[in-house]
Amino acid sequence: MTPRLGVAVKKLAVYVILIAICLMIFIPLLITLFASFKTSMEIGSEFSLKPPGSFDFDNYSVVLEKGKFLQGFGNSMFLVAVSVVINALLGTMTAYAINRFDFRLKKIILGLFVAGMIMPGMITEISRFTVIKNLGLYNTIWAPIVIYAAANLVQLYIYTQFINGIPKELDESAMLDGCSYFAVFNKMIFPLLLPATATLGIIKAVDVMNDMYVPYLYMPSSTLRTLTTTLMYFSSSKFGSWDYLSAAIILVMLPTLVIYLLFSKYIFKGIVAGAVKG
Amino acid sequence: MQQVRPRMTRILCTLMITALMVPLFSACGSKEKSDVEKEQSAQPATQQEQKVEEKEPVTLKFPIWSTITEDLFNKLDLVNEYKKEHPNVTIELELLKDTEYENTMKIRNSANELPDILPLKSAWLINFKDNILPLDDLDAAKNNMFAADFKVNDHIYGVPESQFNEFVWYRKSVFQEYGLEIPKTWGEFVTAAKKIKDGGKYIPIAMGGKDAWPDYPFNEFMPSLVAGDGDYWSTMATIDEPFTKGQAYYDAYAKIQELYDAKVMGPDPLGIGFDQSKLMFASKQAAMIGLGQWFGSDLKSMKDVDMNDVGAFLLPVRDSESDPFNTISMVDTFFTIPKTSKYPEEAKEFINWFFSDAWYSKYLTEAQLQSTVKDVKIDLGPMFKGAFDMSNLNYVLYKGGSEDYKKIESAIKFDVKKMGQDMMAGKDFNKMMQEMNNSWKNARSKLK
Amino acid sequence: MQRNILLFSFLFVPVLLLLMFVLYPLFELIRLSFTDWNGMDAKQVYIGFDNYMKMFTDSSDVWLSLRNNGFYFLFHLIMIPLELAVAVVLDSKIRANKFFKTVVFMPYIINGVAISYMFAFFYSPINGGLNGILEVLGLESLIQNWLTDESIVNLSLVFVSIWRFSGFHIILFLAGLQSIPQDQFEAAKIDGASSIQNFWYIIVPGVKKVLEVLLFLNVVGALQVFDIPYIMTQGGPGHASSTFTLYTLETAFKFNNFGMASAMGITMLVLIIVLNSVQKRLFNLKGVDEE
Repeated sequence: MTPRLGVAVKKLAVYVILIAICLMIFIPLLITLFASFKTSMEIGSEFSLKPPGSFDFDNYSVVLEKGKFLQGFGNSMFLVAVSVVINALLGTMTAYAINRFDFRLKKIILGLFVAGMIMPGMITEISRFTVIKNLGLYNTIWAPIVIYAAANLVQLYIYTQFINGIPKELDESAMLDGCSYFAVFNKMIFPLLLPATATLGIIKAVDVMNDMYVPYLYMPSSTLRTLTTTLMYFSSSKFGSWDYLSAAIILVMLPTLVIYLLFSKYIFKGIVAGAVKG
Repeated sequence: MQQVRPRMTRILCTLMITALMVPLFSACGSKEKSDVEKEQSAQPATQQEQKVEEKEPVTLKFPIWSTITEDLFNKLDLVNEYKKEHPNVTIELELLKDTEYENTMKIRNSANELPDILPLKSAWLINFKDNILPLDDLDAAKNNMFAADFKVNDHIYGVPESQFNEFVWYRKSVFQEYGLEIPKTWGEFVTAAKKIKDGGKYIPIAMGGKDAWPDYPFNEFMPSLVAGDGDYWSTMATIDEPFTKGQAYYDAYAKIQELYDAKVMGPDPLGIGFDQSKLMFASKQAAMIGLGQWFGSDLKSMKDVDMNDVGAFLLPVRDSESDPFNTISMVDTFFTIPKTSKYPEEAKEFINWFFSDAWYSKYLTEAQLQSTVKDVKIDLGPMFKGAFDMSNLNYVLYKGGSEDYKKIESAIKFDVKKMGQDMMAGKDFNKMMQEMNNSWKNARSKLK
Repeated sequence: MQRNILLFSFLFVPVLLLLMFVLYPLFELIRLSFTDWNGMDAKQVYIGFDNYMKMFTDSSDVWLSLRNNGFYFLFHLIMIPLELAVAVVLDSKIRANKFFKTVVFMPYIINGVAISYMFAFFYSPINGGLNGILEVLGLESLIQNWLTDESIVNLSLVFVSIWRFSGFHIILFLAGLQSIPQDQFEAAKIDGASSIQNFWYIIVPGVKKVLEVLLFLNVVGALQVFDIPYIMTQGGPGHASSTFTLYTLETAFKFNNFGMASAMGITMLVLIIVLNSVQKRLFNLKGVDEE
């Protein structure tokens, strides 16, 4: 085998593997997409990867009307937006304080963050519920927000990595110019952390979008349903047949997918910039 | 529980927001502050009132666990119907997921955040008894045929909404095709299923085994039916080895195993959820499905189901026609009022109204359920015609089991529906019974 | 002085939130794990270490559930080198590299609950997507009851988990790779290093940080698996696909044994800490908290 041929074979193998991965990702999605345009009879009788005969949106209109998906979308978006903003603020502040200063309780605070990450979920809900209720936040959209804001080790980790990459001399020269610590943070550190914030925004947004138990438990009111809880209710209702459910699944996936595809360039930039400054 | 005082937390909250403002994010911080504070002013008084009411405006929280109920309440306009008579009361419906209902209520209970009207299943009455008000004096309880049967510690705690029976729903045309009669004994029932299976055209019995609960007509009810004892779980808690041949539980389960082993529930009953099993019956892929009376309204709401082709018969479990024909009578959805409710009087009034003629008959007719109230009869229509014309018919009123039973159940995590799944999966039946006997006996010996 | 004001104002909110939502629930959990509380009654009797003793003797299903968590842990661990390999490929100059990147990361972005329902449909025995595909390919012999055969169900669920998260890991690796300065590779080229040497001496150290994070996330994630089995099988058939979290929930709410469930929660905490430190020792990596 000539070296050139070897290289060609290698290249081919790489493409075959990549295409196989893409197929694995696409096939379940395609099946669901097709099913969302079929009637339950068609789903039951024909090959799942056969494209639908016609693109009629009957299933979608039923689902939109019955499921109140638009309301769910609104609530989800609100939660995501507010959570990302709050977490970016708290995350940068915490990371700045912990990275740039030495103080007595540092180890303990870090330990708390770790504990928050590895807390067994669900089972602590009983005591969390009491706290939320006493704060007067039960059955309001703020309940999940304070919970999401509470502890996020990953976020702290990434920000700390990133602040490490900002030379301390910068701080010091600014201080010499008569800036206060606050001004250093405001004018310099916070803006410099924006790329990392992009990464965290994505991770946090995905987490908040996906969470089902917290919104379900703390916001029982029907006007406070998120996309995920809407889907939960929908799946167990009498419309649980695959035709409607597929349409519901696609509807829930759609907004994030569209946002993702529109901004994928920036998202990747953000991840590369923010993920690992080791 | 050490309760943090709300006022304290309010102060903390305000402090937090102020701290947030220090780093000059004033725009963001202050907006949040006003929002949080708005949230904290306990009840926004944005009630639209045409005239000044003497009575305070009241909101009663009323959770439900089924989308079917929600649809019915919306269709019959429960909220506004009640407003007509009680202009100051707003009923706030909260739809919860059926599988999570109990968990949610337990979590809420620990924070004293139960709703004002709390519907419960009969088996949960015991669990919640310390947290709900006795309703002995309530008119709705006095007029109820079953409320007294479910007393806990000699008090009525809940008023049951409806009563229904358990049926095997079947497609008449399939029975005609194979020349089948309505089965009158267990043997005839299994034979009928096998005959349909041999025909190879239909799945004899649709079963949503993936969700575990759809096996309840067999795994949950048959021990009571074989024993002819609606309170069989309590009886079982007095026996050391109920999983022994000759005991009602064992005999019932041997029958169920026979049915599962006959493979009359399609190629993979465990891979199908309830929704799919429902569809299989609705689209006539399956000839029968074992479900309660509530399934009627469910069927009607589905598209293109030929309701004239659907009939229902009571599941026969007896060995011969000379035995009494035991059938389950299920009483469900007990309206209770938590002790923490701020408006117990209004909640009582609502329950009385719910069971009054004006609303109750209308609602039950729509829901196709039978009444629990004396002197109220609901016409169920032609679908059930003949179902109750059995000789020696004997109603077995199903109960949830005593405290002792609950203790054993918790200790060994006794779950009949999961056992049903294991039986469908083909686990060694006698070994299972043997193991159950051992753990049951062990748990009984630890009862105080 | 200024420093103290800053520290106080910057850390006050996060720490307060941590106290309310982490520390207080944690202490409650520890306290409850020594009681026989059923989650309902006003009375809580302290029973010492009973719950901890009983947890592993009274029921074999705990072990079964833990074993299932082990599946997730193991398979995700096996995937890590493969994910790194794909990342290396995507980092090289191949055609349509943007497209592949976008597709690979996509599953992570999609709503997880929707994915679980989607796969329930995909695995469904009645005209499900997967069995249909096998049929068309003439591989009828491979058709399985994906979600109800006890020996397969966990693999089916683990696949969903891998489908969901591998892309995220690949992109993280990719980010790590891109932070490696190019001149390292050029220097290696001059020294005549083979691609294998490149891999060991440049790439692996370059993504060490990512690796460290992923290993930690894997321990936490695998032990806390909840939503995939919860939505797709509810832990069934029987307890065959139950996980530790699902089992804990069942103990607490279905069987009213809150004390025992709390003990299980604490046990899980300890397990995560132990596993993570073992892993750290093995890989000789520095942990997050030693920054």
